[in-house]
Amino acid sequence: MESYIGWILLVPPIAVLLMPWASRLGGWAANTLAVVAAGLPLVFTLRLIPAAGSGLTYELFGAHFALDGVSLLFLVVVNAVAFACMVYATSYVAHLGGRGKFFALLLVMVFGLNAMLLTRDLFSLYLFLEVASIASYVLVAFGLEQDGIESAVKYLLLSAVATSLVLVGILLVYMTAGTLEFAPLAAALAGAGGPVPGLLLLAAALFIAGFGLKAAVMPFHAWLPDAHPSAPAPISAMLSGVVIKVAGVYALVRVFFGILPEIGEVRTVFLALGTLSMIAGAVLAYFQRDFKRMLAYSSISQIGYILIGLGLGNLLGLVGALFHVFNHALFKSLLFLNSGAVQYRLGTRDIEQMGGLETRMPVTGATSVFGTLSIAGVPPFNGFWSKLFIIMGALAAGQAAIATLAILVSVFTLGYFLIIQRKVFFGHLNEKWRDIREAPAAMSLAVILLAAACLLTGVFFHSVTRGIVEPAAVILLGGK
Amino acid sequence: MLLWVLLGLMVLLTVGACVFRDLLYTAVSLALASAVLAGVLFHYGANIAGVFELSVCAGLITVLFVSTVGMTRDSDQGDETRLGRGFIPLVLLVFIGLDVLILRWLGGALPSIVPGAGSGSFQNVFWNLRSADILGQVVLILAGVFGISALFRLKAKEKKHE
Amino acid sequence: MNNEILLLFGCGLLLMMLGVYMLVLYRNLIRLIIGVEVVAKGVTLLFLAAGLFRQDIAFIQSLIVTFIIVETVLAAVMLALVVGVHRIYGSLDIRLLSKLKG
Repeated sequence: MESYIGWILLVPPIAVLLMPWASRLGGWAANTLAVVAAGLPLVFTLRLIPAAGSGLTYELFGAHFALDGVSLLFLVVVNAVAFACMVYATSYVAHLGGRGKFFALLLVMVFGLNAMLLTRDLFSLYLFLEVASIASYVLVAFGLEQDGIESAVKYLLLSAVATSLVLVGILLVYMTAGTLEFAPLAAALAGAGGPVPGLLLLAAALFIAGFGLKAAVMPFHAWLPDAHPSAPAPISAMLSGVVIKVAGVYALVRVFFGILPEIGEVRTVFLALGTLSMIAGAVLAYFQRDFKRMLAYSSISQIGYILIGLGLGNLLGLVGALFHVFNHALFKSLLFLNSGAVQYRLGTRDIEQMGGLETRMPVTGATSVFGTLSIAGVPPFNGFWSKLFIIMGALAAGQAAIATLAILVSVFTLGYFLIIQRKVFFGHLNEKWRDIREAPAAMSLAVILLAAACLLTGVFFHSVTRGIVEPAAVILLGGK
Repeated sequence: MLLWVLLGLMVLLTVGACVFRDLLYTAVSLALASAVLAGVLFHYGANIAGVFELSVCAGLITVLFVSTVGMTRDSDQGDETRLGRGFIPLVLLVFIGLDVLILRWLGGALPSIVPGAGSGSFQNVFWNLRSADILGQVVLILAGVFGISALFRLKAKEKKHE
Repeated sequence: MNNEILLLFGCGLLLMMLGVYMLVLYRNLIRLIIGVEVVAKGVTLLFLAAGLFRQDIAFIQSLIVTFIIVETVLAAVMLALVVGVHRIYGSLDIRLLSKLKG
């Protein structure tokens, strides 16, 4: 069982090393290598689900990695979405060129994220975060056209500052505790119950700013609405669905629920920033004409929900937040991949020019409906349950105002997403698009998998929550 | 005493990197600042870090900068506001002031030096304690290699069209 | 010794502030990357200060070496992007990269 962790970590980098040869053999070889390299970690992750409770560890030439419920949840998210995106990319990358390099960089990003989740050392966490980030900078600019390069530059500059802040925070923690590994840190920082030392408060602020930027929490969100639309569709899906969760939310969770001692103000900050993101993200999304840009703002809004759940601190809130991480990754990546398919066939992202597409692209249309219903929180799709838990958690914690706002924003989200769906897929077919075809098979397969996952996770939400989410939430609760 | 000189020199060179009009002077300034930083590292016995700082930062990064400056010579360099650079002396004073305030607070917030257990030699730390980092760095370098070849691949595309 | 640590800390912070100042105000892309490098220099000094404080130079050296490698790969990728911008816009002025509003 332990060796599974090793496979999860090492299969992507080994594939990266083999990729140049596979490319030379031909597109089919590169495709196969990429899909296998993304699929194997997923298989191993799924097989690890029953065993996560027993605290598995893995050692690689002296490097220590470990798995617990929280890591496992995020691992499933990363590898499931990465697999779908990789399958999708086998078709999509055709019009980008540089097939092998794209797969290699995407695999590097997957490695960085997986390693982030499996390490138990704060500096290694930072290092793997940088590995994934650098891969993502290049991938955003991969199309080598104006939009991509411009947003990659802005993303990179902002992100570089953010990771510097995180690094300073890490140094402050090191100076206070003398170690960088999670378990000894938690013990060293637990303190005697007195006031939290100033250094740790400063470190906490730096972590919120730095990881908050990676999570695209307001007011640190500015890079996301540019980067996500301009990137190639599978990269947008990975960024919005996975990277902001792992690099941002997971890091925040590890630091604030497992390392730093309980700081009451942090709870309040989470609630405040979460509510701000939830509302502002939804409102700004409403005004967008570019479909992918709207999805990007919507991601900011959904991250707000997650942050609220974390800030509430009770079991319901935490379960809701973690479950929403899982669900949002599934339906957001689904929506981004579909928007990519539409753009692939139509050549535009402007909603106003679309209409009636479901007659020409039935699979894309149907799966988009799945995604829309999920994000709007309509039962029995998965989004309904995670939002419900967060709202219930808010009520349980006495935060009736937040609960009400969450419900209102949900209804609002449902509203504008349905409007978009109608505009893009239903209604009168714009003459221009009379002859377009459905998206290529690989792309359709990927979105069908994700759509099925959304439905199944929703219908079987009890098993999913019991099996994966609750164990993780309990760990977070117990850490205080 | 030596430390004050070294750090002062480094700050001076960095300010130079901010202020010079010619990009090559800027790059060289930064390179010299890195070299001085390497000196500071040597001063405290961090020899391997110093060597890295010297060869990689003062060397490799400068080479990268100079090549980029060379490749982009013939373009509009972006109008530097006189104000941006001209304000530097004033801004520097403000920053130093802020700095002193922060240091005062820090001096109080820091407990006195804790004698640590010590991790042994650098070799022990790098290869044994922090071996996860080695894996990370290897993949990082792979990312850099693939990344740069991906970003420069336009040449191949253009060649194909010819 | 405590004074030296504070001095290192102070200079590190100063360089970081200077670097952020450059990032906020400057327009030429290459200067912006110099700004990122300046911030990195400051962080390196902070690393050293932390290591001295904990009296574990060997440990902090390893972190510094790793950080230098991250810094280098980052610089290389940034500069490659700059060359890309140059190819498309013919200019290195970040004001031109304002097509997307965030």
